[in-house]
Amino acid sequence: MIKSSLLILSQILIFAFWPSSFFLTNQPTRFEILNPNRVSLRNTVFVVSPLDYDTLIKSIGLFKSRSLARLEHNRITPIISRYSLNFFSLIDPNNYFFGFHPRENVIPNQNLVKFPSLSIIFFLTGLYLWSNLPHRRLVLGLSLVSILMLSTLNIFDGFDLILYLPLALIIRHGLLEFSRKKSFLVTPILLLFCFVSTIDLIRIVLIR
Amino acid sequence: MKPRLIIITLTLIIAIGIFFRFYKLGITPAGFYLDEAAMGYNAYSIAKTGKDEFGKAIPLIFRSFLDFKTPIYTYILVPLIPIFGLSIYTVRFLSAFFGVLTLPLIYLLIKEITPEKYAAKLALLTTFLMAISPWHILLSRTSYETNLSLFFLILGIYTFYLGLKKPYLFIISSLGLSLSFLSYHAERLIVPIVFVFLTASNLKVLMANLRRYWFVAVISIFLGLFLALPTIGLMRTPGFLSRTTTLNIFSYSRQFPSGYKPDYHGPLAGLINSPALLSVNEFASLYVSYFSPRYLFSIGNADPKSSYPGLATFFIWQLPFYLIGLYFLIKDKKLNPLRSIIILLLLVSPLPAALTRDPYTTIRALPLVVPQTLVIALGVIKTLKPGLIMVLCLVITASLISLYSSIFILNDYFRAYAWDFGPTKVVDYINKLPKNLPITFDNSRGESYIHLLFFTKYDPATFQKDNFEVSPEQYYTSMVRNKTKNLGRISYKQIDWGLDAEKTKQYLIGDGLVISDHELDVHRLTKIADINNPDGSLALRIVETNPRQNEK
Repeated sequence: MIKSSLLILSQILIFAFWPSSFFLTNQPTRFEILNPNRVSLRNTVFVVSPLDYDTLIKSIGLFKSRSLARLEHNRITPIISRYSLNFFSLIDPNNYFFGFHPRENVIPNQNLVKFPSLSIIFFLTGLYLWSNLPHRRLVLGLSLVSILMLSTLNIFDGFDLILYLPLALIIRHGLLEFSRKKSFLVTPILLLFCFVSTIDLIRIVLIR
Repeated sequence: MKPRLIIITLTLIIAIGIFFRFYKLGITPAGFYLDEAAMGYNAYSIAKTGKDEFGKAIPLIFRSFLDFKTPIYTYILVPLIPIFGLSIYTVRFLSAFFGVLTLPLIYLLIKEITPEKYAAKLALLTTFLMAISPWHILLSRTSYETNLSLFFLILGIYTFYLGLKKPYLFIISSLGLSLSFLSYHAERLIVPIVFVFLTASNLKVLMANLRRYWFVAVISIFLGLFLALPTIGLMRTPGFLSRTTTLNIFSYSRQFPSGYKPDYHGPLAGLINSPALLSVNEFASLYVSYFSPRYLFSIGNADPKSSYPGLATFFIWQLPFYLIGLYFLIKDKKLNPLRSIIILLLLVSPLPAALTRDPYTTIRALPLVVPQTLVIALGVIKTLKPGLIMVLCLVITASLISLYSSIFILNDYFRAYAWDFGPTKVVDYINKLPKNLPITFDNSRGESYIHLLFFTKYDPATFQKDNFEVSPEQYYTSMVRNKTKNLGRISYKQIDWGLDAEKTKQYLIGDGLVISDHELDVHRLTKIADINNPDGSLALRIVETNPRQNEK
């Protein structure tokens, strides 16, 4: 009885976090993602900034061999660099469970708390037991396409909400698999999870 | 693999390792960081007078800038100073030397504890990936105690496993682990855990052969205690604790825990602002970051001194192999005992770093380079088909080119400022100045007096006599600093514009913030030289004063 109640509460907490965080702490820019100006080519990694060009020219000038310089530093270098930076930010567990790092302000709003920090345990469990995940091909496809597309944006904040559902499903899968374990530790861990996550959710609701 | 082929391959790998660690060692990174200069000058001071810069005979930890540095690096440097002289090369040589020695040691360790099926391949590939690891190369090319500590840690673990067959090697193991414990702050937490694990996981073997082991084991334990106890005895002094209290996320003496909301005083303040909950959350976030692909393969360490331009901790192409390797390490129980010690190192190595506030620091988490490199090597071995070997060779060649250009070309241009390029060059300019005028060097930022001491090879006995900071009795306990230093005609202090520029004819040295263009005009200073970083930014400025008294 206690265990099943905790399990329901845990799922509510997992699914409630990102939307609460997004709509409550993100108010001034809540609907910024609907602004068509943000979805234009000039807001993608394919447009290289003057600063990037300056660094590129300086880097090329340092090499004695022009061809070696061109091999390493060319017009595509800043694009690849920005794309990979976004890509790795989007596959970073710290992004989803800790708002990157508590003392690291990446860009405004990107330090959103997206899932309860303790749910990283269930996320890893879900990944490890991937083969049992229902609709895993859909989840994988949606996640991959989203990550690859979001990486093309200069600032993916807001748009990354598209990852909410697949990630929440993986975490839920991990939670359910974890709760099936016949260990005396399951209920205490679920209790701890609910306690800490509720406090975190209250923080989001009370302190915007 | 044939033994001859293994030896040739290993020799080639070590040669690559030597190249990336020793080539242009005294020149690159351009500049010489103040901590490196401090270790070098204190070794010089010990060699000349038997005392450090503060006049303390044979300190157990070095007070230097109230950092209380671990002593092993400095003491091993002492005998090198009379042979090679006091130079950047000499100070960095030690780190590069132990960095290279770590490579064959890793090969031997993996070979010793890996099942026969993988042993040679995994050992060679891990050693190769270590030889070209940007993380390990950077810390081998610069004077960081952590690199020395890693060598001793691996030595301790390797000789422990050998000791199970040849018990006298437990003495070397004990020596290695003790020296690792003494060489760097992070290992003070890692080494005891590793020691307990090694003993516990081999308890059956140890107990079964107690008659063979007991004598050597007792000697080893006594040796370890003999080396470590004096330092443990200092554990309660403010000096020993200084690093812990300033950096520890569980210490609230200097700042609130991360996420603390000082404006919230509602009924739930006790829970919402609970320091324990917030700090545990921060610790977890820091801990996870040491496994995050974003840090490992994309941004690396944010500190410009702790990474190379355009390179992260590992190469980007290693990401899939890292994930695959992790999967097999967890899954494949046949890899024991390698599996258990590598999982332990993976879990324990980030602990000390995760207890400190800075996000992802590669210096404090250096022992992690070994298990993570091995995980990547395991991923390569488990997945690579013969047809893809050529592709991998091409990717590795591109990585080597990228590594070369980043270390020897880009880093010196873009990051020299972080390596104290200006203070490193300033003595050349000072030597050209006429000797008739005094010099005031501004001390607002940095600790450049140590560069002046190092590059002028200033007589340690004279420096100790002229610059009192603390008595030997209060060396580890007093946290009072004397930031003004006298080095003959050079005064290292804050510039007092009224006194120094308007009343005294002298040279002033400071950075662009202190001696700005505005100050040049206001105080009618004559610019002697601007010392620029390689990227053209101003590092230091030397001016001559024109006091108003002289005009009258």
